[in-house]
Amino acid sequence: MRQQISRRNMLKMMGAAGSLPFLGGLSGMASRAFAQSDAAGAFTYWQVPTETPIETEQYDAFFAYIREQLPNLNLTNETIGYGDMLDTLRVAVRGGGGPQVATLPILWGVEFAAAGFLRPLSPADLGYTDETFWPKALASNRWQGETYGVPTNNETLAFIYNKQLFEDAGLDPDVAPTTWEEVVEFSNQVHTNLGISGFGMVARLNNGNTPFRFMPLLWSYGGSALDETDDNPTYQEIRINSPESRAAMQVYYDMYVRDGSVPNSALDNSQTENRELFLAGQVAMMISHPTEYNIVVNTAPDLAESVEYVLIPEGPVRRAVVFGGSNIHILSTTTDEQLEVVKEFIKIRTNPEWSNRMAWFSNPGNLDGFDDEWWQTRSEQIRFLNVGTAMLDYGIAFPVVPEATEIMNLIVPTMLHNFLTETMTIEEAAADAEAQIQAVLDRSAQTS
Amino acid sequence: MANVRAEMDAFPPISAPKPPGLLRQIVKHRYEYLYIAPAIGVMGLVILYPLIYTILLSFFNTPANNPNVFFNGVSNYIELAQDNLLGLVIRNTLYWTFGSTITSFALGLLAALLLNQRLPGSGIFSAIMVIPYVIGQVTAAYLWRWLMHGDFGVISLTLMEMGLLDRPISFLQDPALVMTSLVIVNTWKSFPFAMIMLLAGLQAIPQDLYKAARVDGANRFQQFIEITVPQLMPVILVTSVLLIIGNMNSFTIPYLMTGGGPAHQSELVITWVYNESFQALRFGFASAISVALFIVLLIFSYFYVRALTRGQVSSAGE
Repeated sequence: MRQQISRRNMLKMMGAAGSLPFLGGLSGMASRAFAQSDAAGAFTYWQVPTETPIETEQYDAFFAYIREQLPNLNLTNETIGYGDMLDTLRVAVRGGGGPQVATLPILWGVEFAAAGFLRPLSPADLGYTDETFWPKALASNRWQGETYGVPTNNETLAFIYNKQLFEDAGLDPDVAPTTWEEVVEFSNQVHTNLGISGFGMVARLNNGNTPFRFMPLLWSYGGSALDETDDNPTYQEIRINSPESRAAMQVYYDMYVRDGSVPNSALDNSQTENRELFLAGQVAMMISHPTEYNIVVNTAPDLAESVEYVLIPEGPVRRAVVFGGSNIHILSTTTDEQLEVVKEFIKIRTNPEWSNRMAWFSNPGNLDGFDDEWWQTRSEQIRFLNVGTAMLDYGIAFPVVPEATEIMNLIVPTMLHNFLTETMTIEEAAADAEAQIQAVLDRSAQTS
Repeated sequence: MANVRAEMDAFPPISAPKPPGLLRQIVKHRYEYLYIAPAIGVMGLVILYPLIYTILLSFFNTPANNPNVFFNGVSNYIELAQDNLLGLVIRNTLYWTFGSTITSFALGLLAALLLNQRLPGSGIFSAIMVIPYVIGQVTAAYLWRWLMHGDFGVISLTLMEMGLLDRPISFLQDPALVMTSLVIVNTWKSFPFAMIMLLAGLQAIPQDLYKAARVDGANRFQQFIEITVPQLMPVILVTSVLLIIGNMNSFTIPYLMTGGGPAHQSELVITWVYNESFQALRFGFASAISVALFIVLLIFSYFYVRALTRGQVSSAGE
C-alpha cells in the first residue's frame, strides 16, 4: 500500500529534497520563480474552504508566501462553504459589496461576467499565453468574446467502489462496472444480497454535486441539457427532452424506484452525506473525487485497503465526465489602483507551483504545472490521482451561459425529483425541464 | 306623542365631543414624538424602506445576465397567477399554517390544562415542555432532519430494531409524508408558545367562578365549556392569530429540512420566495409573491390588532 500524505511525510520529503520548510514560510522553488514585488494595496479574497489537513497546510503555506512576496499587500482572506458561496456572492455583489478577487467553481463565472460583476482578466494580463491552460477551462471564462478569469485547477471525478462489499455480494472484487447497465446490475445485486445500497446516488436540490454526478450519465447516453456535447456548441438548442436524455433518466429511475438499490435519502443527499454512507459500508460504489480516498484513509483506515478507483462507466454513446475545476476572477469592485497588486497575487496563485499545491487532489490549471516538481511529488504520493487525471480526456464542460447554474443546480435536480418521486413520469419530467430551460433562456433573451 | 317630540326638540341629543384630528394630536404630543423619533427612523429604515422597495421591485424584471432591472408592469403578478406551482404552494402553505396552528394550539391547550392543575412535579414538566421553544430554529431543523433521515434516521432505525419496519421511512423524501413530517416538527417547536399563553390565561380566571359552578352542580366538562372557554376566549384569539402569522411566515424549519423538495412537494410561499430570489435570481417575481403574502398577512394582522384593541375598549367602557 502506498504511503498516505501527512504533515510528517511532507516534512520528510521536503527535508530530503533539501528545500526550505514550507510551513509558515516560502518554498525554495517558489522563491526562485518570483521576485518580491513592491505592488501595494488592500483587497479581499474569497475561496471555498479546504477539506483535508494537507490542503490546509498548503493554503497556509501559500498565504505565508504571499506575505513574503507582496509585503505591501493587506490581504483579507475569507473562506465560504461551497454550498453557501454562490448565494452569498450573488447578494453581495448586487449590494455593491463582496470581494475583489474570488476563486469560483467553473460553472459560476459566466453568470457574474454577463451581469457585469467581473473585470476582464486573461492569461496575457498575467504574462501567460492561452496555451498555458486547458482550452475548455479557458472557454468557461469567456463571455461575448471577452475573457473574465484564469483557471486555477481542473478536475474530473472518477468512480470509487468497495471491493470487500463487492466480494460479499458475490461480485468479482477486481471487476468494476464498465457500463452504466452494469452499474444498475451490480447495484441491485449488492442491495439484494447485502441489504445495503449499491450505487450512491446524489440528487440534492440546489447543490452542485447533483449535476456533477448525473450529467456524466446523461451525456454518456447521448443526451444533454443544451448542445454542450457538440464540438462547437451554440447553446441555442435544448435537448433535455431527447430520447437519449430520457434513456439516461431511466437508469436513475430503475435504481431508485424499481430496484430501490440506492440510498433511501438520495434525493436529499449531497456528496457529503453520500460519503458518510460509503464510509459506514452502506454504499458500495459512487462517483467521486480523488480527495475521497484521503478522507477514507483519515476517517476509516480499515476501509482504505478495500477501496478502488476506476474510470466512470461508459454509456451507449461515450464515456463522459464533467470538466470541472475552478477559475480565479477579479470582481468589478476592484479599483484601478488595486489592479496591480491584484494581478501580482493572481499571477502567483496560478503559477505552476501553486496551481499544484493549491489543488492538492486535483490537476493544475496551469498546464506547465504538469512539468513542475510538485506534480511529480503529488503523483507519487497521492493514490489514484492518475485516475482522475485520466478522466480529463472525457471531460465535457457545462454550458457556458449565464443561466447554467439555474439549469444545472435547480432545473436538472427538480427534474430528477419529479420522476424519482413519481410525481411525474420520465416523459413529463423531461418535458417540464425543457419548458423550464426555455423559459429561463427566453427571460434572459428579453433583456440581453 | 307630540309632547314627547316637543320635549326632545327642547333637549337636542348630546353628542360625544369630537376627537381631535391626527395633526392636532401630533402637535399636542410633539415632544413625545421627538423622543421616539430615532426609533421611528430606524423602523422606517428597516421596515418601511424594504417594504416600499419590494413593492416597486415587483413591477420589474431582474435578469441574471444583466445588472439592470427592467420595468415590466404587472407581468410578474400575471405570471404568478398563471404559475403551475401556485396551486400546490397555496395548498402546502395552508396545510402547513393551519395544520401547525391547530395541532400546536390543541397540544398547548392540553398541556396548559394539565399544568394548571398544579399537580406534583408540574414545575419540572413545564420546564421540560418549554425546551423545544427555547431551542434555536436552526438547531431544531437539523436535529429533526437527522432524526428523520432516510438512511441514518433514529426514528426509522428504532422502529426497525423493534421489528416494526423492514426499511427506513423516507419522511422528508416521500411526497406523501413530507408535509405531515414538517407539521409534526413545527408543532413540537411551537406548542410551548401556545401552552405559555394559555396557561397565563387560565391562571387569570377567577376561581370563584368555578366554586360557584360546582355549587350549582356543574361537572368538569361543563365548567370547561361554560367558564374556561369564554373566559379564555381573548387569549385563544390572540394566540391563534399569532400562531397563524408566525407559521405562515416561518422559513427556517421548512427551508433547512427540505428546501421545498422533493419535487416542490413541500414548497411554501416563503420558501418559494427565497428560491426564486436567491437561486433563480428572479427578484422581481419573488417580490410579487412577497407582496401577495404581505397582503394576506395584513388581513390577519388587522384581526389581531382588532382583537387586542377590542379588549382595551371594553375595559375602558367599564
